[in-house]
Amino acid sequence: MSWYAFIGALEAGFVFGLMSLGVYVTFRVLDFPDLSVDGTLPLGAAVSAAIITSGGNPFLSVAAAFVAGALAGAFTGFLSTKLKILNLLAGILTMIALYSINIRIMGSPNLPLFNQPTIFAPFESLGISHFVLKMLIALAMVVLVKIALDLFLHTRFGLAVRATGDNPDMTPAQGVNTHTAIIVGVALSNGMVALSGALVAQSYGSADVGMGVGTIVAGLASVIIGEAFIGERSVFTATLGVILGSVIYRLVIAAALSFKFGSLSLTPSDLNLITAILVIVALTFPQVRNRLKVKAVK
Amino acid sequence: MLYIENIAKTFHPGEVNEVTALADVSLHVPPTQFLVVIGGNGSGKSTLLNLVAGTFLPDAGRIVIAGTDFTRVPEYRRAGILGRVFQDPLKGTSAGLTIEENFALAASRGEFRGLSPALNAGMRDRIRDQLALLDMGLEGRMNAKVGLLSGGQRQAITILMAVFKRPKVLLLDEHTAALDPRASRKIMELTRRIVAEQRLTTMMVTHNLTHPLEIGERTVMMSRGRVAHDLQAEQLRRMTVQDLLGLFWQTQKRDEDNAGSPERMSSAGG
Amino acid sequence: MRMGSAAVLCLLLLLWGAVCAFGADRVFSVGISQIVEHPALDDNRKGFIDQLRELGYVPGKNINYDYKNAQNNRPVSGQIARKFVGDKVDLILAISTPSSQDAMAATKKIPVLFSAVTDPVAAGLVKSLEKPGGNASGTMDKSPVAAQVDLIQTILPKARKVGTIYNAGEINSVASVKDLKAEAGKRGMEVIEATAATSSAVKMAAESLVGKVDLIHVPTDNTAVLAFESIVKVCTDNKIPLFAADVDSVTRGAIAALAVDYYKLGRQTAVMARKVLEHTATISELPVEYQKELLLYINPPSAQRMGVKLPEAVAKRAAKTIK
Repeated sequence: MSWYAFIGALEAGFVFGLMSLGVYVTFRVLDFPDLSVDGTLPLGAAVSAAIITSGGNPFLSVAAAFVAGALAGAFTGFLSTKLKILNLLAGILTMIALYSINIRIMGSPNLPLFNQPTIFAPFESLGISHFVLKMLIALAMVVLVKIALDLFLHTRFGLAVRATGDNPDMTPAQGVNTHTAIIVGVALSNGMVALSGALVAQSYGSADVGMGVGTIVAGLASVIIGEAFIGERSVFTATLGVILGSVIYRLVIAAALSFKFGSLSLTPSDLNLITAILVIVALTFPQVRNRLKVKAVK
Repeated sequence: MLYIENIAKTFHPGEVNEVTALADVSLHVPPTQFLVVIGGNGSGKSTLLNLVAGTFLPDAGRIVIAGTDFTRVPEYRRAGILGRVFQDPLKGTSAGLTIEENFALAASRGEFRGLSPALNAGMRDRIRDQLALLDMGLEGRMNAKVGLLSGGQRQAITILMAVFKRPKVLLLDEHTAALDPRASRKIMELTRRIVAEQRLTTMMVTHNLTHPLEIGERTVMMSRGRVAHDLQAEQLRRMTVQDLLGLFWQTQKRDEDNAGSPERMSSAGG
Repeated sequence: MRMGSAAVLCLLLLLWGAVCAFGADRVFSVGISQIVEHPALDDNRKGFIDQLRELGYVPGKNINYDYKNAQNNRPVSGQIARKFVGDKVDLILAISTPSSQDAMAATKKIPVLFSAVTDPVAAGLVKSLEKPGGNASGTMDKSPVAAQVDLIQTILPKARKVGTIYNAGEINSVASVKDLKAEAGKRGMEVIEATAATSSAVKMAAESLVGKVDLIHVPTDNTAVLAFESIVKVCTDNKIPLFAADVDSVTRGAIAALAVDYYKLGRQTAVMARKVLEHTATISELPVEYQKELLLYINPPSAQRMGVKLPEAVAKRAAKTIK
């Protein structure tokens, strides 16, 4: 793996780490398998690209992407809680609806951002090479969002969201409106995913209606890999694990792209297999570790 | 404190599995009374408690708690004035949250949950004091996830959480039934101590016939969705477990004889 | 003597420079990034490699290809571009719009040749088709509507009313139909539209055109092409000549289609690649190219069923005749 590809993988790990944090909120905190994310990632990209190409501020476009994603997430939550649609189906409905909406927002299935101002532009005068700079900004963003998420999950409302996912029987008895907790939680999750989409568009140079394909798989893989490496002792370590998981996932893909052993070289068509193996290893790794620990104690 | 007036509840109305769980029940629980509700399976005792808690809403009748009509108010909006302990010790607490976070959750009951930190030093001190009362050593493990604790410990925490904000009515739903005898005894002692100390109005559902005599204040025996007997303290004082059991079988038998009669079918309107 | 050795030195230097310039002993590396496995895109890639081989670039000898397919996963496509840039390849061949955009986002130095891109200007890859102005140029696969209308006129000189079926939600189809109206208008023909939002509504859309049109032309619309057999049936029953914009639909019953030949488009891209590798052209000055030779498929039995006789001239031009 070249230095450039390595930095590129780190950047992708951080940018998609934002998305993985969103997936962590739905899958792990809320226990709500939300498939809207395949639509809200391009939604964030679309909103950001549409605002930038019509002369808007790139930073403002990122905030707008978050809001748009949150609204889409709230819609999924609404379908699931108020209309009693199965959560998996609710997410799929939002996802397919967003396909049309994203094309509407962009006015075409693809909107390039080359030669347009981005959030990276103001920092270019710092004299750091462009690709390292993008990685550092992505790192700063994901760290900021992680800290904000950690803080949120320890507020009065944040606790209600966590308890709703953990034990939906007890939360109404503790005065929690579980519907509100789910709607806000899914909204927050998709806001983060859309935020990730906005950064992807600005870093990768275009928003594309098809860019959400595989989002949920990457997000889940990151969450699970993170848990295997760091565990989920607390919210702080769990979110740290998610970001680490995302970076590992991207590094593995970068390594797989460069892998060559004699005449055998991996291609991206092998990536689905590699992802599956990675997740299986991550899922069984804690068990193996525990078994080893037990043996050591004996 | 708690008025239940002509409450009725039918599950799956109009379907083949239609069940009349409660048919016209009225009860008044005065302040500080410790009411015990007993009855067999399907007698409606748990349905009654769930209707007070708001888990589901009644078909007819009214529920008034501390002067406010709560008949159609959803569960989460009653929680501010109620405390509730479930039969399943895993149901009352959130396993993924730490002990102190569970208490913080209970502390916001009935209040707006904003974005202020859920825990602060003052609240931690209060939680520590409460846990110390249990004498289980939990005050030193406030950062431990509740999922790591035993059923008895979790039930003890649920009780403390239920009374953390001094509820108008404490609802206990067979809350010792799922514990082993030793833990069960301990939880019952704790319950009585807290109820007495805080002078709480309490409604406890149980199928353990020693509980009415142990508490000895007032016991309601339910059968087939109705109040079959309403025993006051002086009546209970003269009774043994055998007497209660006899009364229970007698009621069961009478209702079985009436089963399927037209009188029962139209009972919901009575 | 001194002068002599200096002259020899100069000569040697010149020779060395010349050798370097012609790249005789140089092995080029080309990264190929393709968004997804698709027959058309795969043909495009094969055409590129075959043509370069004919031009003297033999894989494993003086050129190495690193082919990566993103399996329609956009983040992976971005990582592929970054890998190629990190490997410092001499040229990136990007097949499809997203692959090209990801390559452009990863490098401003390495030349990027794109292919199978519908609108490189709208995709932000080049400033203009004549003068790209950046590090990318290539070949585009915009549906050749003008040539398609010409073909219709050759086969049906008296036709005035062109029916078309498409999904108004597909942006490419909307653009194609817009072009169709413009080209038909120039030739004094009128376009009558029928839209179908789902493939199950395609048959009804086709039926709505019966009696109103002289022929039906179906653009490269995913919805309409999915339910192409139902259009064939309506056209056969009512003797309406049916034209398509992709050759595959001819085997399914359209009488003729004139379409982009992706294999040849790949070959065309290879000729551009040679210019870039041999520095005989600067990529920022290298104009974007259209398909020079379109692919024609015809289906005479189908034509007969729809009441049309295909002219001899058309039959001769056809790359493939369905029997």
